[in-house]
Amino acid sequence: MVVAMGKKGRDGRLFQSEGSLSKVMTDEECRKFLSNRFPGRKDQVDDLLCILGEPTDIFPPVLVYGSPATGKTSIVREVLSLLGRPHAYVSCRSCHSPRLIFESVLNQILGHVRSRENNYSSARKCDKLTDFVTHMVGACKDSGKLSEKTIYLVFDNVELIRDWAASGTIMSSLLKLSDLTRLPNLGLIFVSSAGPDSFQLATASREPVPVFFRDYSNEELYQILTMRQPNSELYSFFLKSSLAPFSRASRKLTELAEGLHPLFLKYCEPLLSGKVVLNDQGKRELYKYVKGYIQPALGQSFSISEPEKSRPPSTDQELKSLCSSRPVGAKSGIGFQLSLCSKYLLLAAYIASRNPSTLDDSLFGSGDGVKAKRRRRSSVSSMDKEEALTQEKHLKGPSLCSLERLLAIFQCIAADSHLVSEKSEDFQSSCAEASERRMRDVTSNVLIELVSLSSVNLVIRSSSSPLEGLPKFRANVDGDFIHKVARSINFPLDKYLLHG
Amino acid sequence: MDHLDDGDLDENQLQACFLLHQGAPRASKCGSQSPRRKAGKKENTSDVKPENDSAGLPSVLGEPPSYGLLRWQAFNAVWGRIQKLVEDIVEGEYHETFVAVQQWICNRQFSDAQLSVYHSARLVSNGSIDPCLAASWPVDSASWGKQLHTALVFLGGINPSDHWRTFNALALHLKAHNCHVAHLTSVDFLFKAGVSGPVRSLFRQLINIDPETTDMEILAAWHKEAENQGLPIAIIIEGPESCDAKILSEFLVLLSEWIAELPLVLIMGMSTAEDAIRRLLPASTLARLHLWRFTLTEPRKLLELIIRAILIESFCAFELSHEVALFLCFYFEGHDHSVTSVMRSLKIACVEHFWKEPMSFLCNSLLTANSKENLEEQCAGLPDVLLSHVNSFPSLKGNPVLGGIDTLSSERMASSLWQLRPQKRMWGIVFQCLSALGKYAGFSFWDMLCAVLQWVTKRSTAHDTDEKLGPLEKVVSRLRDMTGSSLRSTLEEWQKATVYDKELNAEVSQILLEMSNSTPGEANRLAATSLPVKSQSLDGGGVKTDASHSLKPCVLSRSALRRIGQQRTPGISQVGEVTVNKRAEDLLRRVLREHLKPPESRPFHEIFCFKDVHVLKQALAGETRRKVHMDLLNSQKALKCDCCPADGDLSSSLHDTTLAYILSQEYGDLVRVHNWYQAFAATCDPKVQVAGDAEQGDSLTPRKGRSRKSMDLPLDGEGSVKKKRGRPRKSLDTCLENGTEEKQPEVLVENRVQEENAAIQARFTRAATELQIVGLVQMPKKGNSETVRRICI
Repeated sequence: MVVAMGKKGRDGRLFQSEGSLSKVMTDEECRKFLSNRFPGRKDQVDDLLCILGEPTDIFPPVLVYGSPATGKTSIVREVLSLLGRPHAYVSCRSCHSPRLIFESVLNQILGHVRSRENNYSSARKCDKLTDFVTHMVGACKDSGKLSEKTIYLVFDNVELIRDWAASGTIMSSLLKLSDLTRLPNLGLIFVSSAGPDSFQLATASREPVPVFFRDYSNEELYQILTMRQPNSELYSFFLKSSLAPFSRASRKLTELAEGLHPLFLKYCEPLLSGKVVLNDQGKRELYKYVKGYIQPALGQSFSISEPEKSRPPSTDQELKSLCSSRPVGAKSGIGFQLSLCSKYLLLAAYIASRNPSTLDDSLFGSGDGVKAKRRRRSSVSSMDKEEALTQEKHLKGPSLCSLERLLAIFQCIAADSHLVSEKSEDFQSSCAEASERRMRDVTSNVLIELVSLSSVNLVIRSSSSPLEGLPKFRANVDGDFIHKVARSINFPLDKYLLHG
Repeated sequence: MDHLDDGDLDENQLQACFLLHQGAPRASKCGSQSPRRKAGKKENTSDVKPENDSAGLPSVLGEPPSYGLLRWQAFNAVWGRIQKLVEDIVEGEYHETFVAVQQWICNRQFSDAQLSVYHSARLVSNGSIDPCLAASWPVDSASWGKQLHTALVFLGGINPSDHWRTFNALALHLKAHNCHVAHLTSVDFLFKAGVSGPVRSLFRQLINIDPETTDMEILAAWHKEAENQGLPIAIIIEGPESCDAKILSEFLVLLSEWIAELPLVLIMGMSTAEDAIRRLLPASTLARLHLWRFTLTEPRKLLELIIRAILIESFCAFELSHEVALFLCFYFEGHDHSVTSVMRSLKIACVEHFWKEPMSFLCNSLLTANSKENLEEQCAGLPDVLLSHVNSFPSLKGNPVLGGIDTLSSERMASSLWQLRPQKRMWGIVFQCLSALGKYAGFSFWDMLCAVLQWVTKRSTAHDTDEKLGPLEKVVSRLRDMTGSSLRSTLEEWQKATVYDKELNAEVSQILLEMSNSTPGEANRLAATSLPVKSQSLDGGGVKTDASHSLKPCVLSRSALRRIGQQRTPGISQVGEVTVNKRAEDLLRRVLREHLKPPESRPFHEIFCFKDVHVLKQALAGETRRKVHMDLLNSQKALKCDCCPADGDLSSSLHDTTLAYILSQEYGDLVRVHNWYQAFAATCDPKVQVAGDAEQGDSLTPRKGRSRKSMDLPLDGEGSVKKKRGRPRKSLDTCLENGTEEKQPEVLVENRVQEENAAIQARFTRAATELQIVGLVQMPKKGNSETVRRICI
């Protein structure tokens, strides 16, 4: 048996399938079947079946809500299809504008199939809600569904509607769609991951009946996860050791399954290699073995698999390739190549956005004594103040700097580092010397490189301020990264940073 | 070039000069920048100028017109060769990854199919669902929580100009292997368009329609059609880092909702490290992707292969002087790792060379000639004009062997050219030996190349200081303290590298043989490898024995000295190695001095060698707008013409664009077009000026938007601009104040002036457009159609 999770598939032919379903279940059968199939969802199935009632019953608007991956969509759709109720399903995710929703609903009611012949167009064109209402009435009449049987419309992911323009009107008018169309037998089901209070509905709108899908408990998670595994016995042993720490981090079924999968492969390793036999002793050993991997696995947000090299893609092969997935950041170095000029630009941007501009003079100006002069005897209070300032600076994060300042610093450090490198090693420096001399005068290439740096988000370009008319820049890299960059060109970065 | 000096700035004359690109680079340093830039640009972009196709290049120095065509053919042949070389290398390097990606798509599809079969079988066999019910269930219940397979192709560097080429090639490769491919770029992921932007682009590329709505059902319907059934859809997203993150993530979620119905596969080209994907996408989106790693050849390595092929290994009958090569190396190292920039700079060099050098047509014969006689024939048929041109080559002046006109014969020229091929080969061999050694010393290819080029350049400027190897000294001296095994492997590599040169190969084998004799354990093995080569080389090179004999005495004496010095170190093998080390070092030194000569030191190198760094530099490293700005403002200084008043006042003889730009400096950010035009017309045509003056009322109240001072202007420039504010501004101010009159200029101006006015308007429009193209002025926007925005520098 398989529990449908996170799957929000669609089927354009739902409406026709009403008749083609060989067997329509009764309420009782359906209840039994679904509570079997979805552990821990008995109450919700009962609620839904209660509200649904007979095929001809008038159906109030229902809001099914709960966290993601709790089986909302699957259960709603399964109930409807098992009972053989005519329904249309629209996900607001793939139908990302009102027009798409309207047309998709109409297509399903009319049984319209897009094809090359009709140039992949939809059955009716409706841009506005009023069009939709008119077409809706017409469509129900046309398809002969204006009998007493209720037609159900399922709107999935309605929480996304909130981000749209004029979201309030769309939501509330969908809610009273049966009033607008004067079709009493229109059943509306809204599936959302946000609760009823998060929808700001117009005052006169009808409150939908809420059905809440609570999060799965640990036992239910355990049950569901074991159900989908081929070797459920082994997996249940594995879950006993690892589910508890994981479920504290996330109760989302999809995330759990993903997070646990590599760990399970690790768990199987000693078994596959034959080191451990599956008995009580072996289980204890495995438990100890996998314990060490749980903590790192929790911190890993994603992994990148290596494509298999050899051909036949059996599941074994896949297992192996999954096992070899490397943790993030294992590679040393910055992981990609930057030209010399880009590196200096990045450093300049980092320095410019970390240091206050008042410091520039003492760092890059000709007089070195400025810094020494400033040093004063520090009392306790001034030290506190300074510390607070430092902290504030850190909290504020990198600041923006103008293009001129960035380029000025760039020129300074490119010139400076030339002196530094001369000391270090004459072989490379003699090569580097000329190139740096070239770099000192800013050409359009430098600007181009600044643009390409900002195109990959290493440097963030803020919208230009209306007063000054020039864009501002900010380095978008962390300390680790920039230090790696500095090291790769022997640049004394710390010398230039005010607070380490 | 003369047009700049003669002071007569006739419009047509200027134009002709720019098109022909006759301006000498040195003279133009101070010249007006903007038109020259345009000329340069034109060359960079145009592949084939249609009018040249039949007529060839314009003739230089009064050469017969047919030679223009010959040069054109030569350019095509040489450049075609270089281009093919580069493209082959890139293709070869990427091929493996492309195949891997394509294989991966296949495998994913296959394993998905297997999984779904497996799951549906389980459903039925479990017995809890009766088969007829299972059949009516949507199949996708088997693919619960499926993730979107995503290939992250790590490009290893930020070279946007290359990425497009790379992904195009990938798309072609996949299309050839039965995939539907859509290639999305960051332009499709704009915040403005929302998620429908990428979807629309997807439809456009896959289905070839521009649909009204962007419903994914369209794609599903399309894919259900018979001819598309079953083929995977690969969606390439180039440069996801520069996409709008929100839209990208929405799009990915949307795709992942459809994987149950559509065999979608995602390919993302990452130009930065793998961490970028985490920064880019929220965890909820990331959880929907199954990421796979693919890595393309690093751009630096690719560049290395290309440079190695062009500068060292292959023969294209077109050489870059060492100065140029050095400049290019620094340029690539410092600024741009991309293949595009390599191609571009090589092409510029090529174009410049064949454009300017009348004798360059010989490159084609050099490339195709089978024998020296062929070449001689070619050289013999040269017309007098070209012969006298050849005589003026600076490379012949310093060379006593080939003196004046009388002694010059076509055979000499041919033989000198014929020598190029073997010389280039030797230089390749020597460099290979050096870099084999450099590998052990821990120097990269780039370090080696730069060091060699620097040494060679230095050597060519300061003669007879051959004893020092400059930066190479460090590398060569490594030979002295190498241990036996690494020395041996170095020598073996030398042996491999020198296969094509029997003489050198024999010497290397000799050293290797000696070495193996001193260490008896491995003698047999080495003898087996080196003997055949040696025997083969012996029958060819009679000279070889002489060379080694002449070498031997000095080597022996030195090694003997060394042996005396190192009496304390016991063991025969140790002593033997020292000798071998020394011998190898001496060999390398000798070979370096003999063969690492710059191409520009050869006679007749003007025919095949491109030397003009300056042109290349200007073409590659574009000046900023600031430079254009400065040049436009200070044109009088550069031109030193008599027609302009010395006090810096504006005169009508100024170039239109310059005049318009200087006038626009009077304003703040926004320039009212009408006022600007009035001032322009007033300066151009005194009659209008008179009319303007007559109009002019009384007071000159200072304007609110007083001109912004340009920050980067040096003081002298600033002064000259300031002084210029005189008469023209008056008319400007009047226009500003008398708002009603300015709407109808034709009322102000008398009838006879009207016709001239049209001409001035046209000139003004052109000047303004030129300024816009250069990027100094922004055209009026929708809301504010009366003003242009001046870009303050």
